[in-house]
Amino acid sequence: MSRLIKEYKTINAQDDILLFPETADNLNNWTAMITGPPNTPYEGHDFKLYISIPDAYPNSPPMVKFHREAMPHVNVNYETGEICLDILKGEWSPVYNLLYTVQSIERLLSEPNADSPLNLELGILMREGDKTAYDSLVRYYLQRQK
Amino acid sequence: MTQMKSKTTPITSDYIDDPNYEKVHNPIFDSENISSFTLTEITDHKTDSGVLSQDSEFEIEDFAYSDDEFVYDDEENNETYDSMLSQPIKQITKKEMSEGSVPNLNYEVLTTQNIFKNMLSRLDHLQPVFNIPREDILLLMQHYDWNEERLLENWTERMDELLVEIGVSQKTSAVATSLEKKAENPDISGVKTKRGIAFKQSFECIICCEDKDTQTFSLECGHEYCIDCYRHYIENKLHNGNVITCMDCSLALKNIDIDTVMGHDSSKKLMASSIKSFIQKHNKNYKWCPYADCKCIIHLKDTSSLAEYTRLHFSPFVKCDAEHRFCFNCGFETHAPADCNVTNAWVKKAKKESENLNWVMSHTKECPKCGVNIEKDGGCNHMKCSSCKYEFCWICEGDWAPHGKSFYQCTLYTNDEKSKKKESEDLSKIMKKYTFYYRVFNEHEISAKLDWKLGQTIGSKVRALQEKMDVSWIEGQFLTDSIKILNEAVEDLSELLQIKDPEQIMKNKLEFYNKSGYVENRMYALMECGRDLLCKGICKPTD
Repeated sequence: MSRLIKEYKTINAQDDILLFPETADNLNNWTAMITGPPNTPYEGHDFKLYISIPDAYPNSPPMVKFHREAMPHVNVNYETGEICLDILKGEWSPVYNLLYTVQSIERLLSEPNADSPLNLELGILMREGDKTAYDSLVRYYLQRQK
Repeated sequence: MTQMKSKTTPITSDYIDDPNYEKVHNPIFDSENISSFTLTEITDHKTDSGVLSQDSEFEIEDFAYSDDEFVYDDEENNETYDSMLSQPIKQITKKEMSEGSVPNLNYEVLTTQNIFKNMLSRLDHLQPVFNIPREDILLLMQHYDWNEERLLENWTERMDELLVEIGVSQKTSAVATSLEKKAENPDISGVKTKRGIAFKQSFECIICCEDKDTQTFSLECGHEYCIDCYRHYIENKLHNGNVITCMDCSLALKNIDIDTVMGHDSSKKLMASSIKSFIQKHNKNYKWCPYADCKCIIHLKDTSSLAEYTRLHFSPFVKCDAEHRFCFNCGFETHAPADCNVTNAWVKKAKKESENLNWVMSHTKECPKCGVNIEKDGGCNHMKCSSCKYEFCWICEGDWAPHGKSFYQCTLYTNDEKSKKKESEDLSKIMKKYTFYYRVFNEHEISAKLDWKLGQTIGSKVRALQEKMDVSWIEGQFLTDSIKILNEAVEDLSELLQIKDPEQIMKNKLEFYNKSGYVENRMYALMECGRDLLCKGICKPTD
């Protein structure tokens, strides 16, 4: 528990990060806002992340999800918002923290990985190397949500 | 029977060291040592042939291991040979051949312990080549999936890079020329940290963020965490079968580090899971015995010819040390003379049809009078048994006469089957055929189980022979040999085997041989014929 408290303090000390517990008295559920990185189809959009901390944290990774049907991305299940990222699964190490996790997911937006697709539609476009089509489809999805 | 058992305990204990001892427990199965089955060989040269076959096993093993990945150095490892004798490479018997087993299938039965032992002896073997500690070679081998060739190739090309990559040593700016220097002094970042446990007062661990007096652990990289966090971390990783690294960098924990942190030999668990994942990755050559709770692993080195044999409807039947026989290809129990395709089709069908079969079972009724199975394929509920002409009501199975004119009054049963009559007739035809064969199959299975039970009593009969007739154990084996064949029973032989009186058994000894020989030949012929039908395409699996 002291680990989460410390992370909370560290995060609070920085004011440019949008990562906060859902309620102040419960550090087991967090939300984060990430902004679409520039020069990606996600630019100009904000995305909400739901983070829930398992009891075994930091020995087990936090569980992170996008809002359902909000994130068109090859490594994200569009329907559920589930994310496929190595550090959230087997590659997790206790030295990572929530901040690092959120930053990794932010990085995932600009570096999609076609080898572990959760969104097959986008995965196929990406495999084909059709970046224009990929980006357009992402934009279409994002536009539709507005 | 129980009396005999208790009397003979001292005798059986004498046979514990006998190589044939296990036969007492598993009398049904063939011994792999005797490939041909003749009267004289067994009665007169039994002991000789036992010794001979041991020798030949030795040779086979020698040969088989020579091009294996676990190569043994002949002169160096005499004691390894001794221990390996209990895991002889199995040789195919005549019976297995006729079943359509792949001829001369060379395989070995292993356990995870065997594999681990093999791995360790590989390390001993490789140590002079690498000239680094065994623990380090183990890490390399784990990374390279025990593919020595690939490892050696990369090793000669770029050993320093490799050591860093795999986490044996840290990145060095000034490349150490000698390996030993490197091992001793891997850290050049200035912060010299010793690998191992230290005790620190008011240590703040960045994992649990607690400030306490505690033992800590770190590798040469200096990433130091409290022992509790390290234990949690290792515990979580033990079952993945991968090399465990420092939490913050790629420097690897050796088995000895793991044991140091955990305080006991947890690295065994890691080795076990590592072996499991090795088998998973090489599942073309390695198969777990599919029987519940059986820990045996079958290793088939050369799978190249299997495809060709499959074309000829041969199946790679193997037998593990617990005497479980199964097909290496499809993982089902031995299915001779059917090949894997036929077996698969049958199993699939059985799965699919079991629902339909339930339907049949619940939609057919026995005639209340003569017991013949009747399926109602339409029409009203006024049934007339075609066999005994008994008239009854389908709903209540009672006599029809008192129903009089109050048709359909038994219940509110609605009859809408008429329109489907034609369709259901075709269906029921197939269904009937399937049901018939399924029942046959079932009956055989039951009777095989009964035979197995009979087999269990043979051991005590052999002991009774020793006791009462003063027959040696070896000589008494003709009983055991007979029961092996009874698996595919024929009644005469089965009757002989029911004899309880030891004297009577000895009197009929010749009879045993004759009958079992006959049954055996018959069985071979049937098996051969079955395979022939498949080869010629006369029998084919259908849906």
